[in-house]
Amino acid sequence: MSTVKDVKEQPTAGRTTAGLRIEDLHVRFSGARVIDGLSLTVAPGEIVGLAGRNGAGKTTTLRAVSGLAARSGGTVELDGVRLPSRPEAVARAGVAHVPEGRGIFADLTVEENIRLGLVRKVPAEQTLRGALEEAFPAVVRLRGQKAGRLSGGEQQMVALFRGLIGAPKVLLVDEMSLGLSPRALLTAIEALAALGRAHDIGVLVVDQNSRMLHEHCDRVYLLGGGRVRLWDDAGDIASAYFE
Amino acid sequence: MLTRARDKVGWPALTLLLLLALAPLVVRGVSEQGILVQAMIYAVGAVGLDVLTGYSGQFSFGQFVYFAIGAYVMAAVRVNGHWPWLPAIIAGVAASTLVAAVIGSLFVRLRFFGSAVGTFFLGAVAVDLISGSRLSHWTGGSNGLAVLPVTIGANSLSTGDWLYYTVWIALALSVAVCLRYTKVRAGRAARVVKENEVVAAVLGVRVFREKVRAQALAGAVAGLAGCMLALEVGYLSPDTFGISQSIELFAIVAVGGTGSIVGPILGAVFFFSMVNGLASTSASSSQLLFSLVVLVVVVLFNGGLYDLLEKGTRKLLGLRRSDAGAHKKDAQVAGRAQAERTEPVAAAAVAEPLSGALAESPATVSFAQPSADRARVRTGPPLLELAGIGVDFGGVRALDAVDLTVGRGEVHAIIGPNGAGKTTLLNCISGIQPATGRVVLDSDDLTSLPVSVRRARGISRTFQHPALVADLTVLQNVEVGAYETHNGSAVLEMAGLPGTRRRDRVARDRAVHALELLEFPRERWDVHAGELTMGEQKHIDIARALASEPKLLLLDEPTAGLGEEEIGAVANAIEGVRRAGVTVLVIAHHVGFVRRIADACTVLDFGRVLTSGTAGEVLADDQVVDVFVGAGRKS
Amino acid sequence: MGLAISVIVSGIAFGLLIGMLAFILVFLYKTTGVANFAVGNIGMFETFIVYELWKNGMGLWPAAGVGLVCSAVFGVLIYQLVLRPFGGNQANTLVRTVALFLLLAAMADVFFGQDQPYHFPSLLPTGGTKVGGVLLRWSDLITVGIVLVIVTGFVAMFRWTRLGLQFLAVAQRPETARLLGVRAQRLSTIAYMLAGCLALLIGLLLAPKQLLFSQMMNPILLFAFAAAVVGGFTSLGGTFVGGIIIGVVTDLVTTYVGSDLTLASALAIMLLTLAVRPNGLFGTAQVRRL
Repeated sequence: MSTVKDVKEQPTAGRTTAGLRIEDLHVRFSGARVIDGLSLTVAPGEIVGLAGRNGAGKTTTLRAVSGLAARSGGTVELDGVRLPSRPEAVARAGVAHVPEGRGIFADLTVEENIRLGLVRKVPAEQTLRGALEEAFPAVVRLRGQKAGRLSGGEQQMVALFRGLIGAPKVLLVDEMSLGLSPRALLTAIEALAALGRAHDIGVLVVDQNSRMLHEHCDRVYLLGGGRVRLWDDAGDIASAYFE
Repeated sequence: MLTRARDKVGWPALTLLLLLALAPLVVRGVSEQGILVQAMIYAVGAVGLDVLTGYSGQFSFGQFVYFAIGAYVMAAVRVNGHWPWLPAIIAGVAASTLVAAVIGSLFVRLRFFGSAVGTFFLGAVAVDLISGSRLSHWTGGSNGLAVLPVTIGANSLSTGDWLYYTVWIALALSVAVCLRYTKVRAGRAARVVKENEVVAAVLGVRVFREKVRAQALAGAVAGLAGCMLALEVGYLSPDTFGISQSIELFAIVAVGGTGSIVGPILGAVFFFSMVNGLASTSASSSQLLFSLVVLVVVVLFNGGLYDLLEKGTRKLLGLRRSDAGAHKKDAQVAGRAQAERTEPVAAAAVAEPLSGALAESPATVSFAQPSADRARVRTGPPLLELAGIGVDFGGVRALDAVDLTVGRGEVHAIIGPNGAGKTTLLNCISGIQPATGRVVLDSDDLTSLPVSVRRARGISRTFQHPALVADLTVLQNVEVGAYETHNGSAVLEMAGLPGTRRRDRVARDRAVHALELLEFPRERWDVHAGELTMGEQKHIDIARALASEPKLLLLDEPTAGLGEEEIGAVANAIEGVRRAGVTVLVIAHHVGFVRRIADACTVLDFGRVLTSGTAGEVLADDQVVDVFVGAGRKS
Repeated sequence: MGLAISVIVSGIAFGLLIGMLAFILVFLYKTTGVANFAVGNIGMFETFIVYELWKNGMGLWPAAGVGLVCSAVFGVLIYQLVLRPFGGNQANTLVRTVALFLLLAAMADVFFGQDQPYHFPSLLPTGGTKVGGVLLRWSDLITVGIVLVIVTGFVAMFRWTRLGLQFLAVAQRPETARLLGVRAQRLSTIAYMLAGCLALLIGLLLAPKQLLFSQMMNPILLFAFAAAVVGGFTSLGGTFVGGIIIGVVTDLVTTYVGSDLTLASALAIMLLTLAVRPNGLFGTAQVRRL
């Protein structure tokens, strides 16, 4: 826990151009304003949480960043450069996205799933395979198995492995805790935080589980009414869920 | 494509029919009249195909099978059985209806793609059978079959004005029947089926039967078209009924615009004018031009000619609104405004939580409104009892020995994190999801009963995505849910006999009652569902489920994706339901909402019941807070 | 008995052609989301191009080579001009392919004359060999060989190449694949390019047997649909098994019962399969969410 505190105290101002910057994002679905002026930043090596009630627009936010949902206003930048609107182009710009439900290819083997994380061509020496194999030894063991046979926790490991192997600049993780036991969740989030810090990857984790976010993230935003505010008091659960 | 199923096409249809009736006064040339005759014959079948595609969501690339059956049966019973012409036509139509119903019931189980392939196939098989030797006694095989001339007095129905108006009458008849179908219960139920089959089934609609009905109607009309074709050509040969013709018929409907009845007639006139207008150059180059037009229309103008005309007319007349979807934003604003100025008495109930939410900080509102003062008298045995409900999804245990008891007249909330199995549990209760364990409603064991029977015994539900029919009004949408049963004969419904009219009235009364009970503003009742806001749609979904007068109402996330005001409106609606004495089981995520409406509360986590009790107790439980907001490491 | 065996052998050869067309249908279905009603006519039109080249004095093999290049271009054009613009929903795209089906037939009639059908020269040697009293035609044996080579090629591509892996990913989860950087539209274009080439191959193998005309592909398209359904519409390998079943049964029906029931027998097999195994022999159930 002490390392967490250290990083928390680092100033995040002054690196405004590095990492992911969302400014005044708007997303509409058939007229309804789902996201309405959302702004947040994720600096390199930082792990940021995004909490909020079901239906608040957490998933939509991530989808808007990676281009799966059309952005109707605002800017999304990576290292000061505007992100394109098509998902494959966003991915190739260095944004990895572990989607809701993990997006595991059930009919492919674990190794094939992981190789798909390298569709964006990355020089061999830059991939994080070694570090990831150390962090997720279980995945190495399961390499030849069909991914559909894996348990939820194992699939989450594979999804994170696949998301990180290409050394992205930013990793978006949707519904980190979905279907994970508390123990599996703890292992996963700790590994994720450590890897992100070690390799200067900004991580944005979306979850309903605000306690987990508060314990492991450098900052937590609360999404409501289509925008976010910084949520610094972990005990203030009422304002998030009991309004 | 396939998105619209218009309701108000009576006047356009009448106008077009009148124009066609008057056309011979202007169009004097024999060959030009011949073009219109051919167009009208195809239009007869095209209108039926539109009912099938536009209004019930099924595909057919083999409609000429039924043309062939109508034509051949009519011709064969006259040649072989010496039948008079009118009974022969009736026999032809009856045969095609029957075959369409039989084949339809084979294909309805397939998804739209499967039925497209299946019917395409059937079209080819039919040509083989007609031209083969097996049926040649009746069909004349590849030699074809002469159609005996039909006369009334000295006038032959096969030429000139007599032919023209005979075909016109057939077209008018098929338009009338098809329009009527779209207005009666069966047609509306089919439109819900097109929207979402599962939702339709839960509303008590006999999905399978309604789909077959649409097939039979389309087959009947195609059979009539076949008889007209027989009159016109005078000689039947297998080439007249090939798969190309079937595909052309579909293309005609697509170009004209599905879901409009009128569009396909326009499409047919367009097709034949074009093909024959260019016939002087070359038959195949006119075919080429037509298929090019089809492609351009399908790629660029999804709604077809009718949609273009509709938009054009609207622009010309300067009309606005009434087009579903186009003015959603306005509708949304209007909807909000209207929600705020309801009748004075209701206003207090609606406005109170709203103004509360605006005046005070969100954190205090719902805590300040505990449900403790609510009378919680639960007399008699519980209404719903679940024992040991279990569901496996390919090795994943979605629900594990869930026991749940819901008291009579209470509002019971189910909460829990995503993926805890909440929706699956509702699916088990309404019978959509097979499960182990027992479901008992009102001491009545429903465990092995299908969806429709469970609805009849008093279980009704809503869905996360309401699946309303966009082209029907609010009241009409609710009416679909208001029928006691969806059994009965569609023919009787279309005839409008007193019995079915009484039944429609009962359904309307129940729908009105449900809407009144939920205090849905009356001035919005005649608005098309496509123009509603998400909040209003959820509101209507509850009304639709309530209109069947259930004992138990299941609500799946009625608040998901809604703003605070809309959540307030849904909460009011649920309180209305409770006042009507209906027991409610509701999935919710918004704890403030749960606190406000729920008497009892059950928490699901990882497919198991974590705890159950009064809403106050459960929400105060530390363990529950853990599950809800995170059971990470205790700090 | 000898007749039955040689009917079965030619049924297998024909079944593999059916299987190949079914393979294209399923391959396009999996990579682009819609089975294309026009694939048969694409092959027909391309075969006409080769025929025209040959008739105007080009050698048959060079003409086939040029035709193959044209087919690749043709496939790309179809995807880019007809299917991609204003990407419609599934029903809309299905109707687009049907319109394309009509258009290609009409184009063949307009551009390639009214004297159809034409005799098409065979690329393969005629005649055959007798093995144990059973006549095996060279053309059938070579067809079997060609299909085996193509299948092996595709299996190798799916298993060992980056491109193949991306195809499998798009087929299973198009959205996730794009999130990983897979350029889905580029893959669809490549899929149509490959489909165009395979369709030509089918046309070239089929035309010498049953003449060349604008409607020549209709029966085999129907057989291919049946084969795809029998194999399970989601299974690429299943299409060939389905093709062989359909090919052999329809060949036997044609020989022993009568050609007017050939198509009916294929339809019957398809419906029977759906009644017993709704997802075909090798298909997997599609999970639907409410």
